[in-house]
Amino acid sequence: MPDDASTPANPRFTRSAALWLRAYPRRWRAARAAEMTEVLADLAEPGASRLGLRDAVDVIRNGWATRWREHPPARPWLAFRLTDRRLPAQYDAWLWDDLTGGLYPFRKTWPVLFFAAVVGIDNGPYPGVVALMVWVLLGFAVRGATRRAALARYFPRNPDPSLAAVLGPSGFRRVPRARIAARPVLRATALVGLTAAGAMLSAGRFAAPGDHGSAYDVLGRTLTLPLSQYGFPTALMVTLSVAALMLTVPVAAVLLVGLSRRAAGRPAQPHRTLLGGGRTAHQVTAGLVAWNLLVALLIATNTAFDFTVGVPAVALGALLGPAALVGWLVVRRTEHDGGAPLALSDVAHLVGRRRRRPLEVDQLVAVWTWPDPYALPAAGAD
Amino acid sequence: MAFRMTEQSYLVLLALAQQPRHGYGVAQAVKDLTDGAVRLGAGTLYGILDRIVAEGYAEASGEQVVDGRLRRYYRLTDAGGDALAAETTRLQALARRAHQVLRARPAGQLGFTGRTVASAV
Repeated sequence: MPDDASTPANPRFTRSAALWLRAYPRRWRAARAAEMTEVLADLAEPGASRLGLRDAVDVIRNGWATRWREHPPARPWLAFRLTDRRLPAQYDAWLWDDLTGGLYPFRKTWPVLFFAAVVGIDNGPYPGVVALMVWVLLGFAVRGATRRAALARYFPRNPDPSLAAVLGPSGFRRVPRARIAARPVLRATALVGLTAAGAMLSAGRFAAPGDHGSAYDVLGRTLTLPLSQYGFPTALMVTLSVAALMLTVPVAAVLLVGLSRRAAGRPAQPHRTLLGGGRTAHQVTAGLVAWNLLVALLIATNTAFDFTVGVPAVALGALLGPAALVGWLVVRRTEHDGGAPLALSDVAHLVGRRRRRPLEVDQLVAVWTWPDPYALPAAGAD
Repeated sequence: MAFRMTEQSYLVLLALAQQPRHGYGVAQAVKDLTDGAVRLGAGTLYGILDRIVAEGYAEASGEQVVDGRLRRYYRLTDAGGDALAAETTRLQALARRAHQVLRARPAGQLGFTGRTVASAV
C-alpha cells in the first residue's frame, strides 16, 4: 500500500476498531484512538470492513497491557478503593479515568455488594440477588453526585502547581446542557411498569402452591401474608394495584391538565442535548419488559421461586406505570405542535410550583477538561 | 517501570532515526529494515511508542490530515539517539564476540557460518 495514498477508513471498519479499542483506558482512547484507527485501517487488507483476528488480539493484549502499566500497585489501590485514601500523584491520570468511567458509581458503592455476598452465603441466593439489585439501583441513583463529589475531592479546579505539573494544562470547555427527554422515558416507564404489574398479577393467578409458607420474619416479628390457594397473595396484590391506580392516575391527570397550554410558547433550546431517545434506551426498555415476563413465567411455573419479588414489582408497577402512561400521552400531544421536545425537567417545571413562569433556555455548561498526554510541542518547535 | 530495549523497540527507534514518521510509516519502515521479517501490529507499535515517549526517547512532532486520515508524526529526541547508539554498540560488540566464538569452533559443526550470523545481527 503506498504511503499516505490511502482513502479514509470505511465507517464499518471504524466501528469495529472502536469496539476493540475499548481495551485501552478512556483517556488513552480520547487522545489516540482516532490516530490508531487510521493505522489499523492502513495495515488491514484493502476494503476490510472489520478488524482481523490477529489485529484484534494484538489490540486487546496491548490495551490491557497499557491499563496494567498505569494501574496503581495493589496496596495503595486497595486503600483508595476501600477507604478513599489518596493515591500518589503519579496515578492522577489513572484516577481521572477511574472517576470518569461509566462504572465508577458501582465501584464506589461496593459495600452493598459485599453485603450481598455475606447475606447470600448465609441465606441462600435470594437475599443476595435482592442486595445485588439494590446495588445496581443505588449505583444508578447516586452516580452523578458520587462522581461530582469525587472529582471535587481529588481534582480541585485550581490545582496547586505540583498537581498541575502532573496533569498538564487543563481548562473549561463549553458543551450543550444534557437533559433527560420526557417522552421516551415516560413511555419506557409506562411500558415497564404496566408489564410488571400485569405479568406478576397474571402469573400469581396461575402460580403453583409453594412450600415456603406465608410467614415472614420482619424485624423479629412474624408477618403473615394472606395467600391465595395458589401460594400467591393475589387478593392483596389486586387491592394494592387498584388502590395505586385510583391514587396515581387522578393525581397525574390533575397535575398534567394545562401542561400543553403552558408549554405552547416554550422557547427553542439550541444549547441542549436530550438523552434517552436512542437505540440503547430502546434496548434497555425491551430488556426490562422481557425481564418482567421472564420473572412472571418463573413465578407461574416454578414452586421453588420465591414469589415475594412480585409484591414490590406489582406495587411499583401499578404506581408508576399508569401515571407515566398519562404523562406520555399528554407530552406526546404537546409535542405535536412542532416546538422543542420536552425534557423531564420541563415537565417537572410545568407541573410544579413555578408552573406559571416561562421555561428557561438552557445555556452551554462549562466542563472541566484535562490535557491530552500526547499534546504537541508549541508551534514552531519543529 | 524501567525501559527495556527489546528488538522491536530498537527497530522502532531506528525507523525514527531516519526521519520523523507517523504510525503507519514506522510500521512500514520496520518491515523494510528487516526485509519483512518483523511486521508490527498497531497495538504492539503503539505500546512501544507509548513507552519510548514516556522514556523521553521520542516525541510527537506534528500532525497532518492526509486524504481524510489523521497522521501524527513522531521524531527521535537526543536521548533517543543516544540510547539507539548505545544499543547499536552493544549489538556490534555481541556480534564481534559471536564471530570469535564461531571461528574458534571446528568448521561445519553447527551447520551455519559467521556470515549468516552477521547478516542476522
